[in-house]
Amino acid sequence: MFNIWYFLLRGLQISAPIAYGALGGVYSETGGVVNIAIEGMMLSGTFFYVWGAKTTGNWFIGLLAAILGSVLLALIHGVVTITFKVDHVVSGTAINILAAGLTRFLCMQAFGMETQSPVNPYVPPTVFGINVLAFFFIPLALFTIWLFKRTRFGLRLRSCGQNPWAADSLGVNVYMYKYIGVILSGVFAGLAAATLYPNQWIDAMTAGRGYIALAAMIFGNYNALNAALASMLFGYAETLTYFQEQIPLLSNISPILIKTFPYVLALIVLAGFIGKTKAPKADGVVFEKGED
Amino acid sequence: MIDEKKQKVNSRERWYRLLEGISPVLGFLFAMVVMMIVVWFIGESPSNALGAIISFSFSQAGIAYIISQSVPIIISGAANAVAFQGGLFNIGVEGQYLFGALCAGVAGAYLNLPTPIHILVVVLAGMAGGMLWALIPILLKVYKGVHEVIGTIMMNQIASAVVLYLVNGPFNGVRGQALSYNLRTPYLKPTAVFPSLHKIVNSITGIFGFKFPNYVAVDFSWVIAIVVVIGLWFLIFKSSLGLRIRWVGQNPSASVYAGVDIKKTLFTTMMISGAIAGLVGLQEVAYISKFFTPNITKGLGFTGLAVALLARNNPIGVVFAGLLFSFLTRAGYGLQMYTKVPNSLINAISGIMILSVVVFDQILRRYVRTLRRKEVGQNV
Repeated sequence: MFNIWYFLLRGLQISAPIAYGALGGVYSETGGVVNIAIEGMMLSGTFFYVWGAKTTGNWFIGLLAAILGSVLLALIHGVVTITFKVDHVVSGTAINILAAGLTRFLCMQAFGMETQSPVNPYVPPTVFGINVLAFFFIPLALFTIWLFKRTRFGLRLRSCGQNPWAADSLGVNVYMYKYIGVILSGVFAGLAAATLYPNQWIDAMTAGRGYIALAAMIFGNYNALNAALASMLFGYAETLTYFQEQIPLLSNISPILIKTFPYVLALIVLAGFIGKTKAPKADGVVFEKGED
Repeated sequence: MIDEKKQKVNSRERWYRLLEGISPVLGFLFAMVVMMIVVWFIGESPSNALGAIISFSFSQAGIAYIISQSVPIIISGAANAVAFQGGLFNIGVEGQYLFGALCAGVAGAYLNLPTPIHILVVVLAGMAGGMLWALIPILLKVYKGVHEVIGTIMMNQIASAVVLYLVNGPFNGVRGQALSYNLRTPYLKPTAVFPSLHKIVNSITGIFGFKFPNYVAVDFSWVIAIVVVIGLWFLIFKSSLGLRIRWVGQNPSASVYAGVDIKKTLFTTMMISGAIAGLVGLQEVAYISKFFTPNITKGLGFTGLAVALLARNNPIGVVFAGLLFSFLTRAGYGLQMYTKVPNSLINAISGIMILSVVVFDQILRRYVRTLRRKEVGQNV
């Protein structure tokens, strides 16, 4: 029997990591740093969550560890792209490769197994049967909009992504704001990690969700709320595949093939809408003080 | 007097060039130092680790393996390098070689053709599969401005599911024995299997007292790798298409004024990259296992990415960087077997290596630029 209430909650839970990833992307790219590394940061966060929670027996410390684990990689991304001015996509990809190896290595060191951790019972509390963290992404998206539109910090961060040279000439510390944007994207990646299956770490468990999050961010036109809503589109698309057998139209499709649905949807959505979206003007541009 | 000055400028220029070109070496060394620190940190002696790497890698069998297994890595590096040359970031090599390998396996198993033609068809099928998988991302890029990284990543995710579906369904060679780990296509027809080159290669290397053991793959895919590398070198540096590819890669806005059709060039670049990517899995499919399985070696696309960056996208450099990464893979297994260092450390280290190469590259370029500026200042 198809339970719509259960479906909606389950979908919210599945959308949340994507939405947090997308919000992280919004912070980073608003400051002008392209962040392909969200995927790797999330993967790192998932390991550190399980490790932190399991060693201390406390889910909140797990959450903090997840955030730290993601921010660590975010910092590397920041140093490489902002201080050393390397191409953002090259750096992001390298960090994703690094994260894939690093998590396996750390898992081996911490738990003696390379491709998965033991089960971790210390998960965030559940409300209505789903991870409590899943309820916060819409409020956080609204907060982000307020932050960007109504505060000095938000205006400055946006100016660094739109025209860092102008911002610089007005005395804004462009490097610092870019760093803050990237680090905040790490914080959100940590939240994403703690919302995605926190009960066990499995090799490559993020399975491209970081990239789906980027697609959601682009589809949401770099606006926090729209990005969160777009994430729900992808999240519910994935949820549909779990309820496949109960839905008459979908039950005939091969269960292997239907796993591609969110990715195919992402491609279709990007193909259909991207012409109408607008990235921050200096997104991905290497900024160097004193040159233009 | 003037000659003296010229000589001075020349030697200085040579020094600058050396500085600009040395970043891969520095990046490699840096990554190795990081690795040794990590090894020491987890309580294994670096000399032990080094000893394990050397004894495992530099035996006759070790060297033979390193050379043989560099073949797919070199091909993948070439696929990534041509994309980079054209300003494209083809993370999709991973999915492209997976699908290409399936196409090659299917062409080898289901078609009935005489030997040389069948092998050629298998190779072409691989290339076609790779191109097909590169097609959607590049169309999205050219017509819709979707960054190729997003497009190709989605295609990677789709590839693994589609391949699993096809080998589970229409191309299942083990129907009835539904164990996912031995899921595969039917065996290739004998006419499609790559010929072994052991005799020829050993008769040459035998002069130097080196023989490739029978269990190491010495096969037609070596020829493919050599053709790809040399062909790509001519294409990029000696053809007008290569010139256009490099223009678009280095300065798209200027190349418009030079009359280059950017969209067309991007499309061609990606198709070449995809076609080469489709060849990556052929050694495994058409020689080693003689069937396609969804459990085929993964991650070669990402290794190729690191290889291309390390080689600065030069096809000849790709050969050396490919050998280096083949050595690193081997070293990883050596570590795993003889020390407590897990193999995955090598993966993490390749990420660090990419980062350090590009960072050193930036630092040295900037340093040389300031030196040049100073020099100009002095001459005036």
